[in-house]
Amino acid sequence: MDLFANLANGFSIALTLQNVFLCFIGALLGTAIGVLPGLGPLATIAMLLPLTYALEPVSALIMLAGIYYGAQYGGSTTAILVNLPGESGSVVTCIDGHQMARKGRAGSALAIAAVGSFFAGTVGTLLIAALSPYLAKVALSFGPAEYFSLMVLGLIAAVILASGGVLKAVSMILVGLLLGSVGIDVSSGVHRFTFGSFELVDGLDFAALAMGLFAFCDIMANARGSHARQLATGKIASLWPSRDEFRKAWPAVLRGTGLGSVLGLLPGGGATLSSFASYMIEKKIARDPSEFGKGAPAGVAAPEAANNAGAQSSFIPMLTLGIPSNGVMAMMIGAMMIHNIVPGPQIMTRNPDLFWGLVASMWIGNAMLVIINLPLIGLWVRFLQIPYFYLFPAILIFSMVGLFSIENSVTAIYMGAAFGLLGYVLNRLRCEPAPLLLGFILGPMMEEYLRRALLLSRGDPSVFVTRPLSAVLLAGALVLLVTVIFPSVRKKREEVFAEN
Amino acid sequence: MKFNNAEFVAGGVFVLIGAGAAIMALGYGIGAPNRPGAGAFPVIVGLLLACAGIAQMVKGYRLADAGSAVLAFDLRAMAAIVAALIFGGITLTSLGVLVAVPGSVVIACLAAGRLQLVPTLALAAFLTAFAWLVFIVGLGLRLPLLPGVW
Repeated sequence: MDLFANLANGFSIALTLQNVFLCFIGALLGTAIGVLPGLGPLATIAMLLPLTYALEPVSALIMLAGIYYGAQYGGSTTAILVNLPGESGSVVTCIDGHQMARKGRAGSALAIAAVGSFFAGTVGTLLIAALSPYLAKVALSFGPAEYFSLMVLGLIAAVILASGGVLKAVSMILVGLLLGSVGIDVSSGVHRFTFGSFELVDGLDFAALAMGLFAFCDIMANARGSHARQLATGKIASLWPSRDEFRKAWPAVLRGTGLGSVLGLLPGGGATLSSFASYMIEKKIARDPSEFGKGAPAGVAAPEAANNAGAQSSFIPMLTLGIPSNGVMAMMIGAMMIHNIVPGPQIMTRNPDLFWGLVASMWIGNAMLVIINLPLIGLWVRFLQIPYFYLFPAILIFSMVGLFSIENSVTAIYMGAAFGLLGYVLNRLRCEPAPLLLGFILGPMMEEYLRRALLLSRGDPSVFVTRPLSAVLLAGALVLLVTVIFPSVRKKREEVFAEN
Repeated sequence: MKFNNAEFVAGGVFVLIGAGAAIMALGYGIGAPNRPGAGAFPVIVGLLLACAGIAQMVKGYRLADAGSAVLAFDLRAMAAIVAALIFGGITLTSLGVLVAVPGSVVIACLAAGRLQLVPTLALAAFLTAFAWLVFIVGLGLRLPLLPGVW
């Protein structure tokens, strides 16, 4: 079968000594930074992005994927041990995971989370391998009008399925689209929004934007009063779940994996939505729902499996259509573009080694995380106890020299500082930065497709509604927008994201 | 006016950004429908942003939602972090890593409130060694240690 031949090819690339090593380093660094309270995958990836610049594209992506999984696993460790979610995907893990930890079952909760995630990751990887070729075939028949409409749908769905205010998120996307258009316009040569500055001609630096919004802005928001030490955690007795816990956890892992794999495919889906939804379902179908919130193993197993499956399957639209469904995927696309790889359906035919190597390395990365996470848990607990006062200067220095290293120029540092300020102002106005990143990544592509579609239709804008596929996609976006305005739907949505 | 309502103020900011961008982009040329100019896309996006901003201002004005007040700005942290980055940017290539890194660390630490001298200096020393090891030894970045010393 094709699938197995491709996977075998992928493994032959991912299993070279260099790539296994990079995957390991990525997973290790990702976990180390991901366990630090308050540092989610976005900040972690932004910070470590410059380290991958010098690598070959395949190796760089393998390392980045390792960092991503590591950050996510690390986040659930923090959620369970100190009740602080490192990122939105592990918010629900806090609820029951931390209760288990307080009952002295921390080791068991960690093991359930790790093994559940590994299982989900394996299924997710197979899903990518099996589904992507078909989706890519469909995508190859897309014209510019379809692509443009698909991006509109993707952006709208990303806003609606994510938590937070819809209007604000739409505005943040639009700001991102504007930021994406800074620099020289490729087709006319006009300098846009450069304010006469030579540095801005090439456009805004992606790494500077990401670090400003996710690292510097976080520091400004959290630095104050960070001398105080965090609550230390208790000892971890045994990593083995009891027979009863195991019996309760494994069906939840299966359900979580199934749900997460499906939801991750949707734009705006991915880790967060999957984990919230699967927790709700577990609570609904449980024989004894009162157990939830008091340390139910299923309440750890299901959302952890779901967020990992969702994280994994959100790679599918990213790799085949070039559409990021969440902030992390936007980050991955940004990283690919730095290596001159344009994500999209042609990636599988033009760079099959890259595609299958990455897919295979995902599985290796997931396996490695179980190996890194469980035996080294004592080390991560130490990491957890580092006060933020020591962390934020380290993050700042690392990001600063990292920004310099991109082009051996300090301009990126100033740009990062400016974006940090912008991000902080928006943070104080209660706006989330992730949609802005989505807009920034998609902006130049959207403009290009809009332009091409209009060129092909000789200036007739009705091309977006007369081409059937494009019309369906736009109608889908419209339906989503309209439904979210209706109170009943909005209420349901708030219910899903309401913290228990 | 509701200058304390996050929705209202955010809306105002978006109106300013959107309208400003749209007006600037008009100067880049809209072009014709079959050949959109450099300004077409930013004008459309800017106008949409301004509309979304107005909607938020209206919403924020109507709903006196106590829960969504503007969060307090920590001017000290803002100033310290930006100053640390600017200091680092200025000194990194001219005065070298041994000046830029500890200097930035000390300035950044001011963001945490009162300065704690001993932990701050220890951290500065540790991070300087760390940055040297990772970026200069590890990644082979060309940066001076001190002026003229490589």
